[in-house]
Amino acid sequence: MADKQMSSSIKLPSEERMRMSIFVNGKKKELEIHPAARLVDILREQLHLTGTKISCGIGRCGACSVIMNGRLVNACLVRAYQANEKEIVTIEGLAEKGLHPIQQAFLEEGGFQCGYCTPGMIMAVKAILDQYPNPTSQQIVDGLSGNLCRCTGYSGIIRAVQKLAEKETSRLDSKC
Amino acid sequence: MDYEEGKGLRLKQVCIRPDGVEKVTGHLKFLTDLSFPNMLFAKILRSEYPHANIVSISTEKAEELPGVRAVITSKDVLGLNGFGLIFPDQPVLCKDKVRFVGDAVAAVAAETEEIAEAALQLIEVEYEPLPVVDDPEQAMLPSSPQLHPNGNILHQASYQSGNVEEAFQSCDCIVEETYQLPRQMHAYMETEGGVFVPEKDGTLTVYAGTQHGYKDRYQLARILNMPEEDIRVVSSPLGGSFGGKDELNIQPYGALLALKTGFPVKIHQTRRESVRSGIKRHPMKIKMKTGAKKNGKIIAHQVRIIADTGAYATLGPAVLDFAVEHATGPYMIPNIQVEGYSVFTNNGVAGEFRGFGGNQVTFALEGQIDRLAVKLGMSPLELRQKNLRQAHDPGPVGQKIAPTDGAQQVLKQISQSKLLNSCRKQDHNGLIKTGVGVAITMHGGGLGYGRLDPAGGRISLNEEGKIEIAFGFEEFGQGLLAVIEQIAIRAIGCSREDLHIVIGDTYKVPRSGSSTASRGTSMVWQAIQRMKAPFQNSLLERASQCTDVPVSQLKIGEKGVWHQDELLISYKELAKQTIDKPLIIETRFDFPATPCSIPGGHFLYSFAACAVKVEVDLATGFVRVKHLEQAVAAGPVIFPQGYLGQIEGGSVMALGYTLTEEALIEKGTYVTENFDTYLIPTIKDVPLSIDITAIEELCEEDEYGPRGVGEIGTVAVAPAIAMAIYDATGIWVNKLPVSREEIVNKMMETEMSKWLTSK
Amino acid sequence: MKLKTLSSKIWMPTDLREAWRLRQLLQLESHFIAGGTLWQTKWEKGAPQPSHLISLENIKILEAIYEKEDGGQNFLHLGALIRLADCLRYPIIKAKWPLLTKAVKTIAAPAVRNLGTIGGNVASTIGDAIPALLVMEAKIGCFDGDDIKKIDLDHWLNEEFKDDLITEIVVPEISAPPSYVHFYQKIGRREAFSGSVVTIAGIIGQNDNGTIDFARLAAGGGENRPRRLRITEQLLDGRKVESALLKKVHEAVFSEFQPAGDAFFSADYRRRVAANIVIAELKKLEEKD
Repeated sequence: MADKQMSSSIKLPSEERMRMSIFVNGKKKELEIHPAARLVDILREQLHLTGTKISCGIGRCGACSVIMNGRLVNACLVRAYQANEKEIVTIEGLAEKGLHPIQQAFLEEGGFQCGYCTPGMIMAVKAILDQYPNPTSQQIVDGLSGNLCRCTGYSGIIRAVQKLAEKETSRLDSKC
Repeated sequence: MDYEEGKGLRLKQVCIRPDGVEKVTGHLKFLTDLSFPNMLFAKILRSEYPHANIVSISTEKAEELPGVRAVITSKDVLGLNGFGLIFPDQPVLCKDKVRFVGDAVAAVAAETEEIAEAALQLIEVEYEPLPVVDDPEQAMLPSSPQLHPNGNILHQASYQSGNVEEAFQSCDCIVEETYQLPRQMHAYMETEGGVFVPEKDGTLTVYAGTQHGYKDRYQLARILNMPEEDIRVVSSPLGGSFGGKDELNIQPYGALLALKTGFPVKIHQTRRESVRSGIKRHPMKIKMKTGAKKNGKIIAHQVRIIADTGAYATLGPAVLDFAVEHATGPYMIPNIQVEGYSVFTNNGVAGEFRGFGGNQVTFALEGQIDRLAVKLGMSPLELRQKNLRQAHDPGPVGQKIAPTDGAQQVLKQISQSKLLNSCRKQDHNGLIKTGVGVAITMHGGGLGYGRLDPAGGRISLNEEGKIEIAFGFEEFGQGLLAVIEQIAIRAIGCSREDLHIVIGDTYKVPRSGSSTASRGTSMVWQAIQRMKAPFQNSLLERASQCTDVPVSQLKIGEKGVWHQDELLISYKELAKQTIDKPLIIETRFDFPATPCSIPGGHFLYSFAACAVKVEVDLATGFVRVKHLEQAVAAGPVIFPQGYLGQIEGGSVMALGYTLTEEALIEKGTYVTENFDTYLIPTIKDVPLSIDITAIEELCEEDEYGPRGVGEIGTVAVAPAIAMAIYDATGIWVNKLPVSREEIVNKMMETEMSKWLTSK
Repeated sequence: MKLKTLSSKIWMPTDLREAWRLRQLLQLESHFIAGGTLWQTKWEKGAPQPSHLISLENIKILEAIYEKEDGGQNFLHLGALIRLADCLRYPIIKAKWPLLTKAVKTIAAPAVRNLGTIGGNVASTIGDAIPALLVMEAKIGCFDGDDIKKIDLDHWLNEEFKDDLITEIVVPEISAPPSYVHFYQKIGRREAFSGSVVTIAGIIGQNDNGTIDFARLAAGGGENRPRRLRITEQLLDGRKVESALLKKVHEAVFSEFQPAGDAFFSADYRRRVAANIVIAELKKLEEKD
C-alpha cells in the first residue's frame, strides 16, 4: 500500500529508451536512446562522428574529450541523460570554415603523430584558449594534464600551444 | 647525393605531413572507426586463469541468446590453430590448456557489442587450475611445471671472445651488479581492432592495423586454410604501435567469425582487454661483472641475461639475440662472455617493443660504466671515451659492420652540453637535490644476419597522371608518409602534388618487409635510389616520344616534363598518351646484414647520447626530469618534424619506463589493467623542453643513406636518469621503475636524519 | 564490465524529498549518483552496477553556493552538486578558503573536474578534498527525509559507510594570522592525474612567543579514509619548534597515521612521507618566525 502511494507520487524513470535532443556542432539532433548510453558512443555510432576517439573508457586518457556547454568533458563519462539538451562541440565542429588556428599550429609544430589522441587534445587546447587567450606555461600543462599522448612526448603540442599564445600576445600588442 | 641536400634542413623548418590535415580535423578514419552495412560485433573470451587445463567448454547457452550469430571455439579453426611471427606456438583458440590470462578460449559475433558481451558470460568453461609459473629463474629449474613440449627455455644465446675469467684476475677494479627491468606496456592510444569483411567472390578483406600486412596475410592464410591471394589486408593507418601490433592480435577471431557468419565483423578491444591480451616489453634480470685496469681500460665484461618471455614465443628469440648482441654496446672490450636465456612463464606474453631488448641491456651496461667510473675516480665521460669504438672497429659481437663514427660523434656532442655544467639548485629546505647524468648507446637496424629481410618498392605513372609510389609499409604515427614524400620529391624532382603515395594494402603494394627495426626510412631511401634513374629515364624517353624534343633537353619538374622553363607535357597528358604501356619500375633487395654468420648480427647502426638533469625530492623520493638532451647520429635527416618527434616521443616513453611504468603482474594476473593504474607520463611529467641535436655526417664510404630513428631515442634515457639520481643522492638505481620508497628509506638513514634534527 | 550502456534504470528526481523516497523505496538496489566519474571507474573494474541509479543532478537546491555568518563566524556553503571545476572558478573561495582551492586543483584533470562534484568527492569517503576539509573542520549537510542535519565531516567519516544524501559542505573561514602555515600536499604516483598515495593537509600557527597555539593535521591517500592526526596535534600544542620536537613529531605522525599499503606503495612509505611533509612544514613555520 505504502509502495503504491509512493510510486504514484514518484515520477517514473525513463524506460529502456528516452527521447533526447542534443545540439552537436550547432545542429539539433533528436534521438531515441537508452538513457545510460555513453555520449562517446552516441557521437561515434549514432551520429557517425568518429573524430572523437575511445581509448580507456574511464576518463583517464582524454581521447574522447569534447566540449559540452562550453566545458571540456570526457565523452566516455557522460551518459545520455546528462547530455540531454546540451550543446556539444566535437573536433568535426572546429574546422567548418577552413582549418582552425589550433589545427594549423598542430600541423606546423608537430603536435601529433599517430593522430589518435589529437582530436581530444585539440579540444582540450580549445578549452584552455577559451578560458585564457594568452595562457602561461602552467595553464597549458594544467589544462592538458588529462590528455595522454604516447607518440609526441608532448613537446610538439607544447610548441603548438605556445605558438598560439605568442600570436595572441602579438595581436594584443598590435592593438595597443 | 640527395641526402646532401638534406644537410641544410633545420629542425625548425615547417613542412606539413601528408596525413596531417586529416588527423588534426578528425576526418581520418582509423580502421577501428570503420563500419559496414549489416556489420556484427565480436568479443573474445579470454582465460580465467594464468595456467589451467580446460576440462570442457559449453557454448549452447550463448548460442541461444537472441542476437548471437556465431560462437567459435578451437574446433572452428579452419586451418592451423596457432600463430606466432617466428613459430606458431600460440593457439588461436585454446583447446585443452591455457597458459596466460590473455589466452583466447572462445569468441562470439552478435548483432550488438552488448549482446556479444552478454554471450561471453553464458559460455561455460570448466578449468582445472595448474600451478602458476611466474618466476623465470624458477621456471628454468627441472622441477618447474613445463609449459611447452620442449621445456621452459624458449631460446638461449651467447657470445664469447677472449677469456673473461683470466682477464678478471688482472683487473684493478671490478663492478658486479644485478639489474632488473620491468614489463612495459606499449600503451598505443588506439587499442587493437578492425573490421573483417567477407566479399561476394569468396575472398576476405581484413581492415586491421599491423606493422606488416603481408605477414598478417601469411599467418591468416594458415589459420583460415585459405590461399594468401584470397585475403586482402588493409593495415594502415594505426593509432600507435611501437612494436606492439606487429604480431597478430584480434585478426584471427574477426576473420573466423566473418567467414562463419558471412557478414562483416567488427572487433575493437577495450583497454582492459588490450592490457590482458597484448604483448609487453620483456622484463629482464641482467647480471653484469665488468673489470678495468687502473687507467680505465675495460678488459673484461661478463653478462647473464634472463628474459621473462611469458607464455608464447612471438619474437622472444630475436629480442634475446638483440640483447646479447648489444650487451657490450659501443665499447671495445677484449674479453667478453655473454649468455642469455629467454624463458617461458605464465606472465602474459612479451614480444616486440621499440628498442627490442636494447633498452634493457643498455641500462645495465651504462650502469656498469658509471659505477666503474666512480670506483676508479674518473669522469664517466672520460671512461667512455677511453673505451669507445672507432669508425672502423668491428661490431659488438666482433662482426663486420658498415664503418661508422657515430659513437665518437654523439659522445663529443653530448660532452659539450651546457646542462652538464649547469648550476645545482639547492632549495631552502635542502630537501631537493639536483643531479646530472649521461648515457650513450648504439643500436642495430634491420632484422640482422640469417633472417629473411627483403625490402622493395614501386614507382609508376598511374592512369590519373600521378607519380605513384607504393611501399608495403604502414603509417602508425612515425611519419613514414612524410619520409616517402620528402625522399621522392627530392629524388624525382616533382612536387608533392604530383605524388600519390600508396601503403598498407596488400592488394595495392609490393612487398617491403615489416615496418619495424628502424628499417622503414632506410628502405624507402634505398629503394628510391635504385628506382629513380630507371624511372626518370623512362619518363623522359616517353615525354620525348610524345613531343619530339630530345631527352637531353628535357627536365622533370612540377606538374610534368619541362623544356626550357616551360611545362612541355603534363604527367596527366603523358599518362594518357602512354596508357597502353604503363610505366612501372619495381625494385627488390635485402636490408644489408653483416656477412659474418652471427644469428641476428647487424650491419647498420645508429647512435645516441642522452644527458639529463633531475631533481630528487628527498622527503617523498619523487624524481623530476627537469631537462633532457639527446644527440643522435643516424645519417641525414629526411623529415625534420618527424625526426624530432621520434626522439622527443621516444625520450618521454623512456622517461615513463624509468619512473612510473610497470605492467604489474601478481601470480600471473595483471594488477594494472587500465590507465588509472598503468601510468604513462602526462604533460606535467615531462621536461618543458627537450633538446635534440641530429648529427647527419656519415663515413665517406657509407652509401646506405639515412637510418630510421624510431627506436634510438628510447635507449639511453633510463641509464642517464639513473646516473643523475646517483649524482643527486648517492643512490645507485638498479631496478626500474625507480623506487621512490628505496630513495626515501635510504635517505632516512643519512641526509634525512641530519635534516630532521637540524633546526 | 558493461560500460557502453548500464544495466541500471536512471531516476531523475527534482527535489530532495523525491530523491529520498526513491532511495527508501529501492533500498539496496539503488545508489545516488551525481557526476558519476568515480562510479564509472569502479564499474569498469567489475563493481556491480545497481539496478537503479538515482541521479541528483536535477535537484537545483544542491547547486547553491553562498557565504553566511553564523555565531560570529563566516561559513562557505557549497552545494553538493557544485562541480569541482567550479570550486576553482569562484574568486571568493580562492581568497578565503585557499586550502580548498589547493586541494581541488590536485583532483583528476580539468575534464573530469567539469563533471565530478564536491559532494561526490566527499561521499566517496576517500576524496582528495577531504583532508583539506578536515583541517578546516567542515560539516556536511545530510538529508534524512525531513530535515537537513549538519554533521561534522570527521564524525561522519568515522561512522560505518552509508549512502547518505549529502546536500552541502559547510566550511568555516579560518581567519588565521599570516604567520600561520597552511599546507596541502598530494603525493601521487606521477606528477598529475593519478590517485593519491599520500594526501596531507594542515594548519599550524604559533603565537608571538613562538609557541604553537593552533595545530590541525589530516592525512589520507589511496584507499584510506582521511583522518585527523589528533595525537600529533596535541603533541604540537603549546610547544616551540626545536630539533627535539621535530624528531618527536616525526615519530608521532609515523605511528599515528595508519594507512594500508597497496601493490605500488607500502604503508611504511606513506607514513614516512606524511611525517616528512609535516616536518618540512614545521620548518617553514620556524622560518616565518
